[in-house]
Amino acid sequence: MSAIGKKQYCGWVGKLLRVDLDTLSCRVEPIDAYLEFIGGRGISDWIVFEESDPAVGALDPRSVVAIGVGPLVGTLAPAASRTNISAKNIATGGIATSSVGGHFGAELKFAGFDQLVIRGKASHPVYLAIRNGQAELRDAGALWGRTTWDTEDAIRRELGDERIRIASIGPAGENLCSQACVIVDRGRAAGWGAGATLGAKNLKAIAVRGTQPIRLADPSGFWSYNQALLKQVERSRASGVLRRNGTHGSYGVGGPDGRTPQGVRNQQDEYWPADKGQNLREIVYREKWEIGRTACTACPSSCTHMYHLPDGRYGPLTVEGIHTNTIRALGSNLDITDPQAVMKGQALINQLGLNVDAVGAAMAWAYEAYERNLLTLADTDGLELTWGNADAMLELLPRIAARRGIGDLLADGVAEAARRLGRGSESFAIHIKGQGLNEQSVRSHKGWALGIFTSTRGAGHLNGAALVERLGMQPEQAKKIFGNEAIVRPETYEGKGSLTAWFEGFKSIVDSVGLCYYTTFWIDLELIGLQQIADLLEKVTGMETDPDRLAHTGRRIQNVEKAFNTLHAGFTRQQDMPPERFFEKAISGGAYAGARLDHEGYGRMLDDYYGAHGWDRATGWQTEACLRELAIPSAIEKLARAGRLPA
Amino acid sequence: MSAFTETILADTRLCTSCMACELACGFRWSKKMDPAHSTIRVHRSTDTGFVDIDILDGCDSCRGVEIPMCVSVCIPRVLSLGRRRKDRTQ
Repeated sequence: MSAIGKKQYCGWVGKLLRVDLDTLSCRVEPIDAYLEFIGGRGISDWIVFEESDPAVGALDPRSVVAIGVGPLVGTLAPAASRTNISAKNIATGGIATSSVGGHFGAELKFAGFDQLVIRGKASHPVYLAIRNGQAELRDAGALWGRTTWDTEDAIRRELGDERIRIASIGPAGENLCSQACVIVDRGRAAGWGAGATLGAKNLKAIAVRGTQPIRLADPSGFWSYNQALLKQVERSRASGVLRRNGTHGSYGVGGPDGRTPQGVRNQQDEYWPADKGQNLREIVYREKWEIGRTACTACPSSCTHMYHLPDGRYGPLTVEGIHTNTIRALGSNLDITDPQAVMKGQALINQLGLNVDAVGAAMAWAYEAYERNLLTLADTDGLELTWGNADAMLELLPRIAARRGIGDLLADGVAEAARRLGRGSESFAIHIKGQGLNEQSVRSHKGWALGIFTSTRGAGHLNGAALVERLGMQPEQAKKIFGNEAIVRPETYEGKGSLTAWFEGFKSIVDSVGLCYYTTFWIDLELIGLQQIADLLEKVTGMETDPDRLAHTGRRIQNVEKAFNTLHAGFTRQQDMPPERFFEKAISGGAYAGARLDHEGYGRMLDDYYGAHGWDRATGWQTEACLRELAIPSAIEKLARAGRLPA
Repeated sequence: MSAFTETILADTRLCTSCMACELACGFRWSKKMDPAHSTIRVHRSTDTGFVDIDILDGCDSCRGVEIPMCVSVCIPRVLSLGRRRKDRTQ
C-alpha cells in the first residue's frame, strides 16, 4: 500500500480500495483514472457500469458494489457528508444508486480512502475494518443474525474504539430481501437492495476509523468562503424549517389539511382528513418525546430528530430517522394513526435493515389484497391486515426480514409479490420499474411526479424530482433560472420535462461532490447552486471548473445510469409510465381535490423530458448523438452491440 | 492580574453532534480538515442520545481571534466564549 499515495491530493484522499471476498484480499489503487466523474455517485456509477456484466444478477458473487465519497466530504462545506452506494438493483434489474448521511463518509476519508469496490463472496460471514489506511477482513460469525444496532455496538466493543463509524446490514440483508438497506449510525439508510447484495457476499459490515487529515488547495480561501456560505444556509427558510420541524414537519405543516397531498391506503388517495393525521404531526412528537436533534457531518440543518419513549408498550426506546417517508409508509398509506407504533415500526426498520419506502409499498399492497379477499387469514399467518391495524404492521416487519410465513411473499418487494399472487393483484401493485413507491403529491405536482417516475433507481424522489416545485418558486426566479415562469404552477405539464432533466444533472453533481441536497438548489433556489459548488471544488481540490462544465459532468453521470438500465433491464418508455391508479383516481379532498394525471399531458411532458436529454421519444432510449456529445464511447459501444441505440 | 480566564463553554443539550467544531479546531492548528488534532471532542451516546463535550489541554480559546473557530461554525449555538475562574479545573 505504501507505494501509492505519495502524490499530494487536496479534497480527495487519492485511494480506491478493491475488496475481493472470494480470496479475502484487499488491493489499493490510485483514484486518478476515475476523477473525471468527481467522486461519490459519479465514480461509483461508472465503476458498476464498466465492471458489471448484464448477465450477472445482483445476488451473484460476481456482482459489484461500489461505495464512494466525494471530494467535499469530510470538509466543513455545509452538510458535505454523503456516502454513495451503487450496485445492480435486485427489484428492477437496473441500477441501484443512493446515498446516506451520518458520519461514515467523512471517517472513511480520515481512514484513508475515497472509494471502495467490493466483489466476490466470502466463505463465511466477515466484516471489513479499515483503520488508518489498513484494511482487514475480520470474522463476523458472531454478528450474523444480529440487528444493525447490536452489530454497531459489538464492533465498537471488539475494536475498542467508541469513535469508529459503521455501515452494516441487518437480518433483511442476510436473508436477501430485495428491500434490504445498509444502515449507517443506527438510523440512516442507503442501498435500495444493496443490503441484500452485501448479504449475498457474506459481508456483514464495514467499520472505518482514521486520523489522517484532508488537505485543502486554498485553506484560507476555503475558510472565508465557506463561512459566508454557512451563514447563507443557516438564514434560509429551508434550513430553518428543517432545524425546527425536520422533514417530518413537511407532513405536520401541511398534511392533515390537505396542503401536502400524500399516499393514503396504498396510494388510492392523497387526502387524509385532519382527524386521522393529527397525532402523527411533528409537533406531537416534539412536545411528547423529542430529546434532541442530530446532524450529519458539518450540517447546519440537523433534520434528524431523536425521540425517546421511556415506558409503555414499546418503551424504553430511543429512535431517530423518522422522516416524512416514515409518516407515509407506516402511517397514512396503511391508515395507521398511532404515533408510538409508527416510532416502533421505524426502529424495527432500522434494526432489521429494511428500506422504509419499499417495505411500506409492499405492506400497503398486502393490506389492499386482504381488503379484496385475495389474501386471507390462512395466507397471512392469522394477521388481520385491515387498514389501520398497527399491530399487524409491527408483526409483518420481522416476518419480512426473516422471510417467515407471509413475510416471504413480501420480502422480494411489491412487484414480485403481485406477480406471485396474481389474480389481478398486479393492478394495485404500486411500483415503478419494479421498485415499490411510497410517495406524496404525485397527482398534484406534475414535475415532481415525472422526476419520481423517470428516476433511474425506480420509484425515487431523489433524482430529478424538483422539490422546489412543491415548496414554491417565485415566477421571476423560475424565469431567470429556467427561462420559464409557467413551471411555478404545479398543475401545468409545460416545461416540467426540461426542469426534471435539469435537476437530474444537478443532483448527480450534488451526490458526486458529497453535499446533502438539503443545503442546495434542490430544496431552495437561494441555496447552493452550481456556481457555489464550482467555487467549493476549486478551493478544496484545486480543480478548475465552472457551472457549465459541472452541468455537463452531471449529464454524463445521469446518462451512465440510464445506459446501465437500458443494457441490464431493457427499460423503454413504457417503464417511465406511472401506475394507472394515478390517472384513474383523483385526490378526494383538501387543497388539491380533483387533481390527477392525464395521459395526454403526461405523454407531452415525457416527450419534453426525452427531448431535453437528447433521447429518442419513441423508445425512451439514448441516441448515439447524445452519447457522443457527452463523450461516453463505452456506452455507445455496449448499447449498439445490444441493439438499443437509436440513431 | 485578572482572576478569570477565557474559555469555551458548552450547552450540550443543544448539540447535534455535527462535528463541525472538531473540523474547525483541527483546521486552526494544521490548516487541513484534521479533527484528530482538535482540542475539542464531541461524543454522543448511541443508547441515550446524550452528548459529552470535552475541551482538551491545549485549547487557548483561539487567542487573538475575535470569535473562536469552533464557536464560529456552531450553528445550534452550543458553544460560546465565556470566562471561568483561573483556579477552577475544567
